[in-house]
Amino acid sequence: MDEAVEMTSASALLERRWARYPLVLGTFGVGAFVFLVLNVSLGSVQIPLPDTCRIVLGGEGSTWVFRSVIWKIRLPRALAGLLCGSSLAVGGLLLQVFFRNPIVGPYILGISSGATLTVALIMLGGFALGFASVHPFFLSLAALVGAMGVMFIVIAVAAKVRDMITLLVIGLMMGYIASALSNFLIAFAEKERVHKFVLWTLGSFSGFRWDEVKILAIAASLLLPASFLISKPLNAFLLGEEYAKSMGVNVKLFRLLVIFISSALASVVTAFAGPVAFVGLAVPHMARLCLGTSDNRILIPGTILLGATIASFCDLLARTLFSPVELPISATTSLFGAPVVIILLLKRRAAI
Amino acid sequence: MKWILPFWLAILLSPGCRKSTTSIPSRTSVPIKYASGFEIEYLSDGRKKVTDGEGHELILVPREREVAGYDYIKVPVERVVCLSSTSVSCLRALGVLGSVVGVHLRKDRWYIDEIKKGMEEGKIEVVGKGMEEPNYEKILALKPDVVFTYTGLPTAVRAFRKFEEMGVPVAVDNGWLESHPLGRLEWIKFLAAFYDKEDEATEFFEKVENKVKEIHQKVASIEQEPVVLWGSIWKGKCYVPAGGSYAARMISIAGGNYIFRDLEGAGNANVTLEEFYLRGMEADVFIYSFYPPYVSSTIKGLVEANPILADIEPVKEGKVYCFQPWYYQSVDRTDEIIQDLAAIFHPHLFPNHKLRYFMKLHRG
Repeated sequence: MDEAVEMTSASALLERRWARYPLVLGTFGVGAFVFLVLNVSLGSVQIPLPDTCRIVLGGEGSTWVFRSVIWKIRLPRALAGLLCGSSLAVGGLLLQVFFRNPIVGPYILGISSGATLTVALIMLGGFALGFASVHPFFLSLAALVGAMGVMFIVIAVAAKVRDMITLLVIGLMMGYIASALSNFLIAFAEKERVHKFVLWTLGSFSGFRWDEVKILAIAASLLLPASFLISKPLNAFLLGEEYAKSMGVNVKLFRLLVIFISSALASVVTAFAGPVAFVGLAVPHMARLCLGTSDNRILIPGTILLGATIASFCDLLARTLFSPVELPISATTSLFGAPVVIILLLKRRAAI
Repeated sequence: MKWILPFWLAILLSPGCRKSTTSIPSRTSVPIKYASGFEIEYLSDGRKKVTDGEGHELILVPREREVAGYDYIKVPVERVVCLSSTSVSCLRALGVLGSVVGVHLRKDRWYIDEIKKGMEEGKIEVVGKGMEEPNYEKILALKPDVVFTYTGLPTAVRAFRKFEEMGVPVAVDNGWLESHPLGRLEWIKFLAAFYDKEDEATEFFEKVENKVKEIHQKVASIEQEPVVLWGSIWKGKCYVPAGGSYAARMISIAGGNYIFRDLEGAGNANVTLEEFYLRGMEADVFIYSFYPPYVSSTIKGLVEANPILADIEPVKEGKVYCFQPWYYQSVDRTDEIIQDLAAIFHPHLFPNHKLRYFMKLHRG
């Protein structure tokens, strides 16, 4: 092919792509909104749509029960779903780019295992002596402490080690140690406690409260824009650490920043919802395919919106598919996410 | 008539045949009314064929008789390992706890005095830990005549396979899967077959059955049935018994109107928080299906852990109950459990009744 023709076709392609981004991002945004609306208006309790609208806009429903179902149960849960989806997806994307590894998720550095360990200590290890039953907020705090604890250890290590594969392996090992300790605790615990603990490890958006949603929203409103701000140096990372260095990126500082943002996002979600599987791994891939770019300036907003959409969609399935029986959220995300990732990886091989 | 020859030979050659022909009472059947998971068939010369909860056929042969050629269990059994609390409570009713040499729970988890005492005296060993896989080596060393276990959970199924592989005689007591409270108790007849105590079991069962009928008649005339919410909630996840479960049946026998009776199935089901909330709103009584310390013993503590419960009627009215820790070790007291429920639902019919298997949560 003639070189000039190739050049023009490439730039035409680029132009077409740039035209495509707002459209795709817009679709994601509309998707997130649609599922938010569906999550608020659908449920095992039938609430007429006009009632739902009036209640959401601050009015009275036909009964006060509808009002409290929507305000106390559905809205916090629906918003939590959006925020958790966005946070996990961006956490996953940052680490995928950072490690240049497509099978990395936000929990790869042992965040969820750290959270699980502290929750196990409280729930199974009898570290709640003096409490008749563990207060849920205390549990969330413990999970947050565990997740952040692992994060700070990884950051401390990251400041020391040179190459990132070592860091990845160390993160994995941290995860193994934490899960091993949790399993020790399970072996000595009573079955009633183990049952509740297993429920926690399945993850759920159910029972979210407004104070939890607020904390989640504050964390997301700080960390998600921060991730967008680092999208440019993150792009330099696509071509390797050496390249990033030559572009004037302070690699050491940047490393810590990426680990901090992604882990903090995953930690906050895990603290309240438990480890929610797969959103963080699958959504960045889906966003990349839909948008057809690796440019993080586009990909990060895309992932934020798509993460919210997918998490809401999966929660909607979990709640309504076999209503009034509810499925665990990690089951629907994995069932939906895993085939998508397989298809994407197969497609990618064909393209290469 | 060819088939009869080896049969005769076997009897003639067996050393114990002469003395036992008269001592074994011949029985033809045991009535089974509610349970559906087991069968007992009486064969010739005191042998029995018992079909257990997994559909396996076990041949029970009188202890004094030696038979060659097939696997069998010598009865009455003298050394027994029990891996479920419901089996142990049925054995209590049969008065044969002395045969127990191994159980699945630690001493502090038992509320059956004979078991606690047996452990103190070193007669009973702990061979497992709740619902996890048991300690096979210990069980093998105990040389039990039979292991009573259950299936339905993955670990229990694995344990069952392992026993078969090790050649340890195992009988599956799946009474917990029965959908009628009396069906759960009726497994006492299954266990009794291993002790030649079918008559005692039948008598005991009928006594309880009549008592249950009596309670039911007492409440049947009442028009106004209280609406009952039964279940547990944790971090927004709600578990309730399905409409075909034994708990649902027990509520209706005791004169209550179970709020999730339309839920299909027999076991437990996970329902959405809003469904639990909306229906709970109309309930008169809330029975929390756990026992302290796994549930707070005060309403205040319960609401603190699940703020959404503050709105539901039984919580506002202070009509919240939970199990006593020995609830699951009391299958033999099914009549008393149902009486407790009836007294909760219709206090005026049972004045001065003291609850034994449920407790009322304090306001806190």
